[in-house]
Amino acid sequence: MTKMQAGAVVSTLSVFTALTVVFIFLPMEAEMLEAQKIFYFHVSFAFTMFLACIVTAVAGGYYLARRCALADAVAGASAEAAFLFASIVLLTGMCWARSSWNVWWNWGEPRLTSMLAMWAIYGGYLLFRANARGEARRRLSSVYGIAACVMVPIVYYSIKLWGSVLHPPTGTIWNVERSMLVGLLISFAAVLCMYAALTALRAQIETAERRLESLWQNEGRR
Amino acid sequence: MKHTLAQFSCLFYKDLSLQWRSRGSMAVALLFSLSAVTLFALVYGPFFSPPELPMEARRRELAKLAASVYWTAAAFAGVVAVYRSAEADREAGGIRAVRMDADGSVVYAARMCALCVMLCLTQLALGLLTAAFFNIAWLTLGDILRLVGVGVGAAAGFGAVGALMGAMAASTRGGEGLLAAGMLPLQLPLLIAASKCAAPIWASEPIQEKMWIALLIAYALIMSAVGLLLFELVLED
Repeated sequence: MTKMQAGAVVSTLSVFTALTVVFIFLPMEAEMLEAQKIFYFHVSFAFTMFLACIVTAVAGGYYLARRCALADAVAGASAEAAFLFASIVLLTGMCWARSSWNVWWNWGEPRLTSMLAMWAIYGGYLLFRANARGEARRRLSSVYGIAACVMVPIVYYSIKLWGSVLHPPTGTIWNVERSMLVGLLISFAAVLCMYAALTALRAQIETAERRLESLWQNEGRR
Repeated sequence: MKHTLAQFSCLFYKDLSLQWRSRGSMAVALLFSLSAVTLFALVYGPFFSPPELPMEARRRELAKLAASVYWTAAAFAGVVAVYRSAEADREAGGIRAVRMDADGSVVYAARMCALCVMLCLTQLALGLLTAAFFNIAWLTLGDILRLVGVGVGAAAGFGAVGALMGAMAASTRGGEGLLAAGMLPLQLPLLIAASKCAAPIWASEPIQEKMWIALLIAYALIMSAVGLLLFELVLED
């Protein structure tokens, strides 16, 4: 079994464990019932998305400083994960909003609005990366990744900065009941494993693509 | 220092001339704003808000509409301006050809300032159009000065992101097509902050939520700093 396969197995098992713990073992919340289960994955995906954005910027910065192709592959893979996780956060957030506020979307909610802006920014990153070619693609997407990271503190502190009557402040999620905290930590660990496996796999595919491209170029020269 | 300033003024003049030469494309933005106002007028009725509403409430409604139409048109005009500057780079043989021995940050600062000036001029025209079509006649000199302040802050932020993204688009094959997709999402926080700041001013009211002003200034400053630091890397071959 290769390292990558082992990573995929660990990631799948951890997600399966988290789903089992959340949906079978954890008690049902009295007011929100099943809808409350969204909380464990919504929060975990949100934190992992922030991490993915930071990894994109740091790996991009490392690429610009050292021109390490692997760092660029990691940055690209991490940005894809950030976009995917941001989409999941938005969708789970909308389900949560429908269940607890009786609306799918609330424009007066700063976290939702800033999150949507962040999702669009990483969508722009992926579009840019998909259409640029060669070394310019690596260099320019690294620059874009660093600029896009500016959104992380804006989204994180949006509730503190603009105030929200609906969304609880980020720090308060750790003040939940003990069993809920355990469930949250397990799902957070599972999503982290998933992020690591997805990023490593995608970075490996990108590295292989690059190798193939250079082989074709060499073949063409002959 | 003197040498840098000379380089800056030379590049600034060059960028401004390029922008001015393509000012015809700004007419597109003005036409766009005219279409937006017409559409809003037809959807909301001839007076935009019911006449039975008290004057204060009508003002507020009109101001919100005016701010949203104004900033939508301003964003469109901004994309057109950055697109033109990226295209001019490509037509003139690339930004590298006019770089001389100037540092990347000087080239960036000159381009950002030229874009900022052009956007301020466009905003002035858009502002007059918006005030006329929304029948906004109650603005005092203080309100106009506050609107100018918000406009300059937004233009600086737009110019900061636009100068960086324009050069990135010029370095990429078919990059102009990606400009709006890459740039508008990055401008979104700035546009939201600008419209939130402008809406109460259009109603001649004080800005209650000062955080929007802070976001506008902070975003413009951070994006300018990111651009100054990274522009050299964008220009690399």
